[in-house]
Amino acid sequence: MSAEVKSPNPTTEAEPTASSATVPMWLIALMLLLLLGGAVYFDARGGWFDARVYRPFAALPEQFQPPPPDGPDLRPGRRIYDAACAACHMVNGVGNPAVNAPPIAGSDWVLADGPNRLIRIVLDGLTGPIEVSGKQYGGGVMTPFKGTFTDEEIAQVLTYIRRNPDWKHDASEVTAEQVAKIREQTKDRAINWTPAELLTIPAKD
Amino acid sequence: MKSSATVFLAAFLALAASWGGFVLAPQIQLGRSVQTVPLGSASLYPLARPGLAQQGLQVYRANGCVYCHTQQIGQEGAQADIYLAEAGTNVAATLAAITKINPEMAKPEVLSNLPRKIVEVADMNAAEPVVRELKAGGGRVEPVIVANGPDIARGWGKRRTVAQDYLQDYPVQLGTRRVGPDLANVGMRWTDPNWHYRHLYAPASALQDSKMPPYRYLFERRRMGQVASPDALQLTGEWAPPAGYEIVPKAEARALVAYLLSLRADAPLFEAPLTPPAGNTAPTNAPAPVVNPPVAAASAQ
Amino acid sequence: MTAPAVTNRPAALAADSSTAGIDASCRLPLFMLFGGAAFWLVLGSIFGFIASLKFHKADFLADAAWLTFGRVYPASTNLLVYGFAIPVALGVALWMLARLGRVQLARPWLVTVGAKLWHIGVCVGLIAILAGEATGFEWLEMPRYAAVILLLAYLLIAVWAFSTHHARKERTLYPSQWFVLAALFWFPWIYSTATLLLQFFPVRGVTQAAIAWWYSGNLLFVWLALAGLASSFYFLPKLVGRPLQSSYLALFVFWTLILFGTWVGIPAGATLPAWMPTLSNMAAMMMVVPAAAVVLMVVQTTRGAKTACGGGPLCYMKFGTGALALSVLLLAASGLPFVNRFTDFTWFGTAKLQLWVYGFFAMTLFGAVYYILPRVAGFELPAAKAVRVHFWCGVIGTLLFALPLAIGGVLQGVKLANPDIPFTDVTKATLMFFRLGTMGELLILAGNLLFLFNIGAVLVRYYLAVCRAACADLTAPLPTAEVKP
Repeated sequence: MSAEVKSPNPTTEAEPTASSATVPMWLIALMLLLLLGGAVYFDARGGWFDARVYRPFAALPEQFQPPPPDGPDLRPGRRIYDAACAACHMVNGVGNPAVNAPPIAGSDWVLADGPNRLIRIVLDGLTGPIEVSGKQYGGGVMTPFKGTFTDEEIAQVLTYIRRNPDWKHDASEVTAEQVAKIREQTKDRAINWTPAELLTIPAKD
Repeated sequence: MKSSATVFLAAFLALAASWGGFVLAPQIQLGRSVQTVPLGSASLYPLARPGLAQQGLQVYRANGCVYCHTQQIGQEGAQADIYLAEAGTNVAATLAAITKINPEMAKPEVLSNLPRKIVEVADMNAAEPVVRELKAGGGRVEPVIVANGPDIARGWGKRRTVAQDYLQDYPVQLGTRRVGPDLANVGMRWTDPNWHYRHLYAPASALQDSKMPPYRYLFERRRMGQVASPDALQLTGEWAPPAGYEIVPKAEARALVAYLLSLRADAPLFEAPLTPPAGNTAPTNAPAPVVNPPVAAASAQ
Repeated sequence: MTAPAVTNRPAALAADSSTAGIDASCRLPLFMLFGGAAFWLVLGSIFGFIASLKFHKADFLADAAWLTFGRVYPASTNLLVYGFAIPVALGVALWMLARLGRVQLARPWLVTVGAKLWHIGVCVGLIAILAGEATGFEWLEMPRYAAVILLLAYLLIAVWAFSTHHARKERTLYPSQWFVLAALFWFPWIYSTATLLLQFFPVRGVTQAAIAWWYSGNLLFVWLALAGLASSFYFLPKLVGRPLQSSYLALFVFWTLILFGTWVGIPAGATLPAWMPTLSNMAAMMMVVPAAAVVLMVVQTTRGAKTACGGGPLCYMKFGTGALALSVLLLAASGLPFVNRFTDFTWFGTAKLQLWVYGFFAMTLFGAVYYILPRVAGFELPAAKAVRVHFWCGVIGTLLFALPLAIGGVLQGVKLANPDIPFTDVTKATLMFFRLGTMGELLILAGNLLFLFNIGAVLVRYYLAVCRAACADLTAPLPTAEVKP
């Protein structure tokens, strides 16, 4: 390197120091003022950490709901169906031949005039070969749900399978009173129903 | 601050707070969301996109569509429109109720050509007494929830988007800049796959004044066989390929268009209320229609 | 051989805590960090310019997948932040830690390895983005295989930065050290969180977006601010020859910045439960507090100083402070509900970020590099005049890019809010502002080229001298006098 290149390093270069003047009051006041404004702003628009409140709303009651559509609400029934029935009858209701579970979708048992037989099946279970919509299904066993679900829940799940628009079902609704009545009538029963036995009972009152 | 430890403690506390707020809290609130059943429907929402559309999301990601297109709809509020569906038997009482609610409409001919919108009210709480009064004549009254705001008015959506709409996607492509229009509901607005193919290949051929760059590399120009391929693009004028050639979409273009057609967020949810569409149709991100354009082989003759 | 430049053997410098010794210990790591950063900066602004041209002519370079807008645009932003901002900030931070601690850099060769690894990671990430492997999350586009390299490289550098700090001889901490230490700690946390939860074990739904915004907010508004302010607070007092005014005010800036800045980043119109964007807007407004304190500090520190800035580092630092103030004003405005109605999802946000990342951060760090480089190299900058030209290119370019886009963004937002205006008209209305912005980008590119030229010239000159010295050693006559029978 040539001699004209000089080092810009002085032998000792002072490092910077800091004075200890205090923070001006107005700055702290500004911060507190903005914090107050921010708190008011959050209170007015923040929805108080509710995950269901989105802009422009600030609270749950502002998010008014549409009226329920005509007919019963199928959502609770679907939840029960998916949890308890879909294991054998499948979510889409086609049934499962491996466990001799007949289909629900399009089934003449489900779409019968009244729910009397369906309620009995759910309450006390079903055993033996069964003919569904003209097809024969092997002798599977459906367990009783008497002790598992309340009248209300059985009514919801039956309403769901009888009215599910995905399956193009449009049968009548099932009420908790209907379930309660049949539960009372069959309270002493301890064994599963058989299809032959059920067919003797009228589907509708 | 005199010691490095204090600095680290300060940084730790500040960052831990926002980590808890914006990483942990959303995870607790939304991280375990599952499909729900929208009001008035029995189907689950949202359904997983069809396989081709899922591949299309990756094409969307790889080509950075998110830098010019958002997928989020805002809303400025909502109103309720009160419709009279059936006049009922006591026509006089119904007319009297209409006179009280909306004097301008109090004419007997209002009761023909039903359903008819009687009044708009600010929210559902205000709607309740109105509905009760109108029902006095035994008629059937339908309150309909309508979302407001410029995004909705542009037809970009029917309601605002919410967390539930994105449950099935990875990566979620919300975007932050609207160089191009919002795409949250593009599958509902532009339903023709052929239009999408043309728009991707030569934007101006499908949409005048489109500023979108062309994505010609998603298409293949090849020599035409005896008959034109059924999926060849129908292009005219300056965009048409030379005679004897045809433009066909590559697999990426098919996937991308399938994805675009699957973009739809209009299920009525609790947090994004909307009056459910009549007839219980499943308002979901339904499977995209078949993406092979039904081009007539006849056009080649 | 008079130049101190070539005496780089550690043995010769061991335990030498003179400034010359400290500077020499930083030399090779800083050359590697700054040289690579300048290269990525220029490459990034070329990509940015290509992206910008596509708004003038949509057909421009449209037939190659890797040159589509959706790939070159993220390539440019990633090169600006990962290619330029982080390595250059690390380089300046290492040097400040060594100088303020009056101790040599620990394990310079390992830091150099870390810097090389970082640049390899950036290169891998860049190729991945251009090949269509980007993650789809803004500011976090580099896929996980690049992210792992970057994180390892960062840790390799940060460990020796802490080690240097730990071994310091001057025990009293200066404010810049707080900022540097917090920044060193901040990045691995946010980057590992975002990479793990978005790429290795992705979370569901919009939680992805929340995490991506949290990450980019922290990266841009906290990490870059910490690194940039550390430089400002170190160099400003040094350049004007007065003490920093004051230590307590710096403490106030530090606390308010990390407490409020860390919540910034979620846009007002985001599809997230209302509390998240609201909290973020609130934090954006609160950023006025640290920004006001920074302006106050800079004014009080430089007031009455006789030093003329003359287009040198002092000018860069002063402009950086101004850009910071302007950017925070835009940020705070976009936190107000009646403003963000018209600024959300528009070019306004781009203008704000350009002022912040380039106007404040990059300009401040350019000043720092121009100050440090001659000292660690051991000779003056070969093209000292280019420093001044670069300054004016940077200033005019930043303003010409950011101001039209901010105005155009508001106009775009106002038109977007009116559904009677067709969308294509909204896009058309912003084009004129965008064209002005492209001019700004061209100036910024020119400035960046000058930066690369200066750094490149220093490196070439240094390594030529090393080669000559080696040649001289080889060809020198044997020292016969010492050979005694």
